Amino acid sequence: MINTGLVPKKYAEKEKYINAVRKVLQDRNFDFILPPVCEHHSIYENSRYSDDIVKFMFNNDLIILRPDFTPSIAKMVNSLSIKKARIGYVGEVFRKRENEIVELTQCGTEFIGDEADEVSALKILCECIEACEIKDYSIEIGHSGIYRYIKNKLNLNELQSQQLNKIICSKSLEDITAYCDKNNVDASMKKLLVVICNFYNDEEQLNEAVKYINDQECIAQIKAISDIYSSLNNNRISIDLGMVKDFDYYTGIIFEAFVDGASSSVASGGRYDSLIKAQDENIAALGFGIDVDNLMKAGNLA
Amino acid sequence: MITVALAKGRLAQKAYELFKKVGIDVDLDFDSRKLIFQDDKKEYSFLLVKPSDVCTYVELGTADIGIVGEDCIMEEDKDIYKVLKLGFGKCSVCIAGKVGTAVTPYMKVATKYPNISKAYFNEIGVPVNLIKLHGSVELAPVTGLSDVIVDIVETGGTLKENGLEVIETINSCSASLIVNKSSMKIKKASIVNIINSLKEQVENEDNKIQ
Repeated sequence: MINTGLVPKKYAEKEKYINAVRKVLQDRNFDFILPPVCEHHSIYENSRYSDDIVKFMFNNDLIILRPDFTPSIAKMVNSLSIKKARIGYVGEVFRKRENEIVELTQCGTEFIGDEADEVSALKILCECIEACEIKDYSIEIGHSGIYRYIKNKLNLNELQSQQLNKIICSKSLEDITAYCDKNNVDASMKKLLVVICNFYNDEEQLNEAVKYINDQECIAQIKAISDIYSSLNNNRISIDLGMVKDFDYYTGIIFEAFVDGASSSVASGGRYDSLIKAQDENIAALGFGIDVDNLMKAGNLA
Repeated sequence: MITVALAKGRLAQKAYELFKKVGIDVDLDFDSRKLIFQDDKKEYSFLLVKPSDVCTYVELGTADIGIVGEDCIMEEDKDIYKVLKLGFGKCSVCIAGKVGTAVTPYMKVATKYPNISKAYFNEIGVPVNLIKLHGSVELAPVTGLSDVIVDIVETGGTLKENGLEVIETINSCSASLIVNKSSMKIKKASIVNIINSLKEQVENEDNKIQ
């Protein structure tokens, strides 16, 4: 990977991408901040993929190297009692992969308080990708509440949830059917799982899914996806109800961007309304992070 | 262009036959030592790679799709879509040992599949010592290197010839079609087309057998 550092030519190339994205954000009135690289482990306690986080002991405290920016920025914003802001950031995040520490550059946004609006966030994400001269891209939207609904309905513990999670992420219809049969999952839940594992990626998936959901809150969440999808009215945007995120702090719409030539998603984000507080009151927030190293593989900045 | 990674060996031959039946042909010659084949129209490119590397080629996007056994998919545990079981290359991942051996805590387990083994023994709550091998795994219990092995079993012939038997089956596997996550979005029309025609072909063949 890139843990070897960057020689001048490579670094100059990377800077172009960082600058292109930063320029879009500056033009859109984002204020940039720089959170610390080392954080106390407690701010990631509820993360599903805590195995991927780089941790070490320091003065009898468990310290982590930040695996993403959002919780650190939330902590900074909390201390300032900000109720409305557009915040940008650029820097390295660290993940553990196969016994190595992988260093990735992320450039991203936080929309706080009244600024927290999915439609404008997604439009700005499109602008950032296009600023890197990428024509072929696709953004998928989902909702964090859907997997939560499934997990609660099936009454899964953490280990069982991880197993199901993996099957949903691999979109294997055969595996999901086998899982349902093995665990005696009821018929309507089985149909819902099959629907979220398909590749329609449009409103048809929403209409199908609603038939098998027996919960007003979850139906409202599907409606929220539908509203955003229709108000964006952009053929690069599609739907993936089977989207599951690495971090558990999301409370609403979630999304991921894909480009030709990059191995996995190049940008990822969503809403997290319980991370930021002012005088004990939750402040609405959403944001996205762009994986600059992955973006470079698809970009055409000369 | 769609790039397809095939797991070298018998699986690749069967997979390639399946592609030919649905009209995808790159004049692949298994007797040559070439590892990459393209059609004249440059619509498809086929790569012949080591089975355990297919998932890597697909995850990193060098190949858009791949065909490989589920044993490799489970062991490699990559971030990919696993869209279709193809019905051939059927086998089981099994625990095997000398006739009469039982699964006991702290025994030595030799295997090419340390991740599958670790996950399974964790799940059943039996602590074991894993020994990673790269081939001729059946030799391990016979020579005393390990008490049992975790390996794929097709007919059981190799086990029998070495005086071993299946103790427990962990999972049954078959060849599967895997897809890179970005390719699935960006080249959706072509890839969905391939998935659907392969699926139809596989279902037709299943019906014929019945």
